[in-house]
Amino acid sequence: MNRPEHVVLLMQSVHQHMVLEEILDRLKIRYRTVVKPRQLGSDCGMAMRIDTADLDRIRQICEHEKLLVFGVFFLVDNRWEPYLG
Amino acid sequence: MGNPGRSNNPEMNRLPFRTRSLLARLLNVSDSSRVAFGHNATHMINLGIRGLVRQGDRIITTSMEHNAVSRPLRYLEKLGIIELVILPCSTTGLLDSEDLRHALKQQKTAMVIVNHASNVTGTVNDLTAIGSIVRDYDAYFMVDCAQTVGAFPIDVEKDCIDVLAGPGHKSLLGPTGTGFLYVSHRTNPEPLIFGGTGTRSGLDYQPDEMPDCYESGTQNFHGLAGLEAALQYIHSRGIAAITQRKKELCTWVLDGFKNIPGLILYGKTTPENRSPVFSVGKKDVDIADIANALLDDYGIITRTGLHCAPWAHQTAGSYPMGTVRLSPGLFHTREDIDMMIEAVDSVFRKMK
Ligand SMILES: Cc1ncc(COP(=O)(O)O)c(C=O)c1O
Repeated sequence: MNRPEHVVLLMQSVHQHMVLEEILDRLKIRYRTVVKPRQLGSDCGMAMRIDTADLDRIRQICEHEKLLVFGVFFLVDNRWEPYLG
Repeated sequence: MGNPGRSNNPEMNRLPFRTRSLLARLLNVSDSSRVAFGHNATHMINLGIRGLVRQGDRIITTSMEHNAVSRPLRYLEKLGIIELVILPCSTTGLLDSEDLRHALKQQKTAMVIVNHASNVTGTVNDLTAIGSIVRDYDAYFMVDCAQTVGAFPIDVEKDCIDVLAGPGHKSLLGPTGTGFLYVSHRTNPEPLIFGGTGTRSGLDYQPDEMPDCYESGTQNFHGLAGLEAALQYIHSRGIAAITQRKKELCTWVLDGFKNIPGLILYGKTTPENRSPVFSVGKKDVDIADIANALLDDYGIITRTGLHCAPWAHQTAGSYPMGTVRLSPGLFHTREDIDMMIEAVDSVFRKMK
């Protein structure tokens, strides 16, 4: 399977999402805050679309800052699947 | 605005986040998620007390507390939920650390709740000293900083504070209808209000995450926007400079009041560790007459009576009559203060 260009990151809370935004702004890592896809829950929360190439680095940042990543997803055939890469 | 916290406008999630971060920085809170917003100090004090108190708890507080603290405690005492110990302070409103240590030694205590500064006498308590004693006895330390936040330094780490509640609209210079609660990692008060948080909406139960668990219902975004601007101003001016200015105000007023015949000042007569609220009275004169003369003849607005703090007036010796309270603020100039002193002098000379 080819690596998707983008994945969507769900954080444990809106607050943690905001903390991550602030860090990514500072480090000039590209992201887009988007409405959480409906299929990933009935929640009215938010999600973060990032370049898959940045995922490892962002995961490391989250670990370092004690931010909990709730899940990483990508779109295949119009369905959101967990991204395990 | 639609529903700012819930709709698809991320900027409206960032607003409370930024305000929270600015406030956290002011209080030396490293994890800003531990700061929640609410309607006012009273709301946040109730959340802290009601959320932490358990059946049979022993709670120590002081004789200088505002009704925002004393009434929730008296209520819980009346219900038979807590044992309440009220430590008498000095007439100026200072808590004696040794009295506190003695009370803590006597019996296991769940929580100590103190006023950082009295809204009646302006006396500022030494939180660092009190906090370290409370920590020695492994009780929670809760502080009502309504009269000090934004005016005097507060460091939740150094002062060993577990719960800190304050308003946005006093020395933080923000709008009314804003208040905050900080809770340390040692404490997790039960929420006071349950409902929609905009997160984990599929759950039947209140989410655990901070600060969402304490912020159910639509938040006061206009208020938080004002508070953000106010906090930016406080950070740019610096808390040390603001504290210094408060001391100058105290010095000028105390100096001027010294020479006014018949003026009784409740509280310290020296400017150190004192916030600029000045409770005054005159023997056998109705405080309402003083207040009316100050307003009618000089346009000076004061507050008379018991200032929602009957315990403090009992301690200071001004109960049940109360006092006239003058409370100059950060933006008053030396000229304003001189004019105020002249006005008080003239009114007091006329009142026989
Ligand atoms: C010492 C003290 N605690 C609590 C409060 C209550 O604050 P709020 O009106 O924001 O609920 C006040 C307000 O006057 C106060 O002076």
